[in-house]
Amino acid sequence: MNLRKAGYVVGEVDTTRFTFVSDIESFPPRYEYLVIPNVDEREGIGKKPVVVLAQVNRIINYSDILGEGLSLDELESIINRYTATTKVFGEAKILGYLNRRGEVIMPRSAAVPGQEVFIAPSDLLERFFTKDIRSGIPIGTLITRDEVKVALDPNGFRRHVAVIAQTGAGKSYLVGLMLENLLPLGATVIVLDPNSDYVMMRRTGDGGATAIADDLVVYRPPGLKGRRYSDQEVGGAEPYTIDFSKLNAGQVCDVAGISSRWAVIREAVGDALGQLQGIYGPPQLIEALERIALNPATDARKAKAAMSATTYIRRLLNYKIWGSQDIPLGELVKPKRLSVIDLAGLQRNVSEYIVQKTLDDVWGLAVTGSLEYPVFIVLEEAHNFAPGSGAGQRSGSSLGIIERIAAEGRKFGIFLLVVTQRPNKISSNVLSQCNSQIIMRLTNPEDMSAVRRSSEGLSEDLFNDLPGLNKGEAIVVGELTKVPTMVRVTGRRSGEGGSDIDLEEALRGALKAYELAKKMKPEEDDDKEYKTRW
Amino acid sequence: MKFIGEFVQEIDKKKTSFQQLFGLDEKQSKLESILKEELESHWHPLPEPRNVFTEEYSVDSSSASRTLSNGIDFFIIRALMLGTGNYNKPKLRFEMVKGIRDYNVITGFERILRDLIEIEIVLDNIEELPENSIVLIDGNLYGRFTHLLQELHLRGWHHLPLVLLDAMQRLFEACVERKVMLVGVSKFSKTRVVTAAMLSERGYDVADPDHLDVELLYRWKHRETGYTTPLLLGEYAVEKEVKNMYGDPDGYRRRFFNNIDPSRREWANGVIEGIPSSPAIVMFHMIPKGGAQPMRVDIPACSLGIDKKIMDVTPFEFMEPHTVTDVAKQLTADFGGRDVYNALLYVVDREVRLGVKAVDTVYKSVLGQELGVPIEYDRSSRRFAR
Repeated sequence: MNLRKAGYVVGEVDTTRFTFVSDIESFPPRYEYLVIPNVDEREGIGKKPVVVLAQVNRIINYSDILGEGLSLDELESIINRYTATTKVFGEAKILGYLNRRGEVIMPRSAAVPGQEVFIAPSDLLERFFTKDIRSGIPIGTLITRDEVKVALDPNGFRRHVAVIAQTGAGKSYLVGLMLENLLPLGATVIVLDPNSDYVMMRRTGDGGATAIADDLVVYRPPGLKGRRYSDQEVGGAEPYTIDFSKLNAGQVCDVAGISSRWAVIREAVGDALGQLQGIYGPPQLIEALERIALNPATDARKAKAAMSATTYIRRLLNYKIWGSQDIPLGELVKPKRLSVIDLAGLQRNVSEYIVQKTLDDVWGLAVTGSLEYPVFIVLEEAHNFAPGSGAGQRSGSSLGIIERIAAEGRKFGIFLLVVTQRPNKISSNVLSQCNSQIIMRLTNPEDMSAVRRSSEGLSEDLFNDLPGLNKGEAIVVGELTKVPTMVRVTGRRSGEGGSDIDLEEALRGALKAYELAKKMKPEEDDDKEYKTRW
Repeated sequence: MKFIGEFVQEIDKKKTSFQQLFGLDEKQSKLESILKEELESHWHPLPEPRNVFTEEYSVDSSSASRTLSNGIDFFIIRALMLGTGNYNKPKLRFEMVKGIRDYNVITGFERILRDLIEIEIVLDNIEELPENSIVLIDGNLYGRFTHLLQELHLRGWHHLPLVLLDAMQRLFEACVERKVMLVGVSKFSKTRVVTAAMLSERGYDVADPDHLDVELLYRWKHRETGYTTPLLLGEYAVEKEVKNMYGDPDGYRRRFFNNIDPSRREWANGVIEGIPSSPAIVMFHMIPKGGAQPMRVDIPACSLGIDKKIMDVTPFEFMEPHTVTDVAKQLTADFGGRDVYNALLYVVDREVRLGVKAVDTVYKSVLGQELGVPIEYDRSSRRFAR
C-alpha cells in the first residue's frame, strides 16, 4: 500500500479520537479521511494489528508569535521582517476498522502517540462506506474524494427514510437522483409532489429522454393555469380529477375548510349530501343546502348553518379538480413504475385530500394483501401533510394515514421517503420512524434540534457539521450506509423541476415588460393613474 | 476578595509619598530641576526610520533549572539566532551540577550561561553574516561585561565569568573584522549612568544618584519621542580595579578568582588583562513612540569606528548624537508598538521561550531515557512542575 504521510499522532489518544501534528504544506483538509495502520487491537488474550480509519474534524493553525494581543502596527512590524512559523495540528475522530467480513468495528484499543498517520487510500474508503458498490444506489462521492463513489444499500430502504435540508440545499436533486437509480431496480414509487419538483424527470438536462422516461407517469389535474412546466415540457401528463360525489360529508367539509369545531354546519352539509344521488358536484350541493336553508320547516339554527355552509361550498366552484377521472390505483402500484402526482397549483385542502386518498388507497391494498410489490412513497414538503402538534397549523386530513404508514407501513411493504425543510414542524411520530436520514445543510436551530432528537445515528460531531455543509453535500446516517457518511451528491441525469429560478434573468424580463408597457402608454395617463391610486 | 480593605487603607495612609514616587507632586528639588534642564539638552529627535543594514539578526536565550530528588541541579539553556529571510540557528547547552546549596548560585550560574550562550551563538555563525549586517542581542552589553568580575562560588565552575568575558572579547574583535554592527537592546533598564553623567557635567560628583534614568525619562519625556545623548562607558563600573587588571592581572586573579583550577590560571590572567583594553561601550536610551517605555541601547565603540578602550574613558563621556544615527534609524524602523519594542527581538523572544510543560514532560523524559535512570524532582520543584 503506497500511502501518503499526513503526520504523527500526538498527545492524549483514546478509542474515539486523536490529535495529530502535520506541516502546513501537507496538511489534510477538514473532512479528509486518515488511516493509522497497525493499531494493536485486542483479540482475546492476544493482539492483532488493524487499520483504523478516521476523519479530520478540526484543523488548527497557530503562531506563538502572531498572537491576537498584538496591534496592527505591531503585527506589521513583525510580518515585514520575519516569516513567522505557523504550526499546524488537527483533531480526527475515529470511524472504525473493517473486520474480515467487511463490517465496521469500533476499536477497543487506542493508537499510540508517535504513530504515523496517512491519508486514507480510496479503495479502503469505498469498502468502508459502501456495502456493495455494484448493486447499490449511487448518490455521489465522498465530500473530500471525488474518486470514491458512495452507493446506498437498497436494503436500507426497509426502514423509512427522511431527507432533511433547508431550502436550496439540494433535497430535490438528491431525491430525484435516488429515484432514477431506484426505479431500474424494479421499484414502485409514488411521488406526492406539491411543487412540480419531479415532473421533469423524463427529460435530461439538455431536453433528451432519460432512461426511465418510459416508466414514469406524471399525473396532473387538467385546466390549471400558470404551471411552471407545461404538459408538453414534461413529456406529456395523464389527467386526474376528483369525483365529488364520492366524497363523504367529512371529506367535503375538510376540502371546503369547514372546521371540525363547527359541528352544526358540518351536520347541515351531511344533511344536504343525503338529499343528493348519482353523479353530482358542488353546484348541486349548494342547491341542496339552499333548499334546507329556505325550507320553512327547518329550524332557524339549522337554516342559518345551511346558509353558512353555502359560503364555504361556493369556494369549491373555483377548484379545477372536479371530474370523474380518478388516478387508476392499479397503475400506481405497477412494478418498475414511477408515478409523479403533481399537486402544484391546488388548494392546500385539496392537496391534503389527494394525499390522504392516495395513501388510503395504497394502504387498503396493502392490508388486504393485494399489494404485490413494495411501494415507495415520496412525501415532499412532508411538514405540510403531516404537521406536528407544535407546527402552528391545523392537522390536515392526511396526517392520520401518514402516521399510520410511518408506524406500520414497512410490515406491509410501504416505505416512506419523507422530504422536508422544516423537521421542527413535522409530526414526531413520523420523523422518529425514519431510521435512516439523509441530512443536508441546516442552520435553523429549532430544525437542528428536531433532527438531533429524531436521529440516533447523528453524533455530536456530525450534528455540529450540519451548518457547515455546502450546497449538495449531505450526511447519511442509519442503514443506508455502513457508517455515517459525508457525501457530495452528484450524477443526476434527469431534469430538475425544483431548481432555483434565474432571478437575474427573470428581473431583466420584468424590466423589459415594464419599459414596453411604458412606451405604449401616454405619459399623462401615467400621472393620472398615479394620482388616482394615491 | 480577602485583604482588599486592608490594602486600600494602606495605600490611603501613604498616598502622598507614593504619588511623589510617580512625580505627580509638582514640587521639585534643586537637583531635580538641574536634571530636568540637563535632560532637555541631552534629548534629541529621532531620525527617520529606515532599514540601514544589509541584513538584520536577533539573538535571545531562555533557560530552566530543576533540582532533582538527590539534590543534583540540572540546567537547560537554549539560544536562538534569527534573521530576516527565515535565518534560524538554534544552540542548546545542558548541565548537571551537584553540590549547590545557595539559591543565588543557581540563578547566577544560569544567568552567566544564558549570557554566554547568546555570545557563543553569534560567534558560531558570524562567518556566515554578510558585511554591514546588524546583530541585536536582547539585553545590555556593558553590564554583562563588567558585573561579574569575580569567581562563581561553585566547585568546578569558578572560572565561568571569565569564559563569558573571553567570549565577549572575541566577539567584539570578530564583529570589527566582519564589519558587523553588534547592538544590545534592553526593553527595560534600571541604570543610573545617564543621571550620573548629567550631574557630573554640572559639577555634582554623585557616584550613586537617587534617580534612575528611566525615572527621569518617565517624568519628563514619556509622551515624546527621541533619544539621549550617547554616552561612552569606560571605567564606570570597574573604575577601582582597571589599573590592577592591566598592571597586575595575576594579583587580580588571586584576589577574585583564587579557586579556579591551576591549569586555567594563565588563560585567566590573559582574559583579565584584556578587560581594560576591551572596547568601551556606547549606550543611550531611546523612546521610539510617545508613551512607549524607553529602551536602553548598547554598542561596542569599535563597531561605530571609535577606537576607545575601557581604560581610555574615565569613567564615561558624552558623544556626538549623530554617532548613533544609523542604529537609531534601524531601531525606530524595527519598533512595532507597546509590546513589540523591536520586531525581531520580539519574535526571537517568543521562539526561544522554554515552557514549563516542555521541560517537565519532554526534556525530563528524554533525560531519563538517555541516562537510563528515573528522573524525579525534589518536592518543592514538583509543586511547580505539575
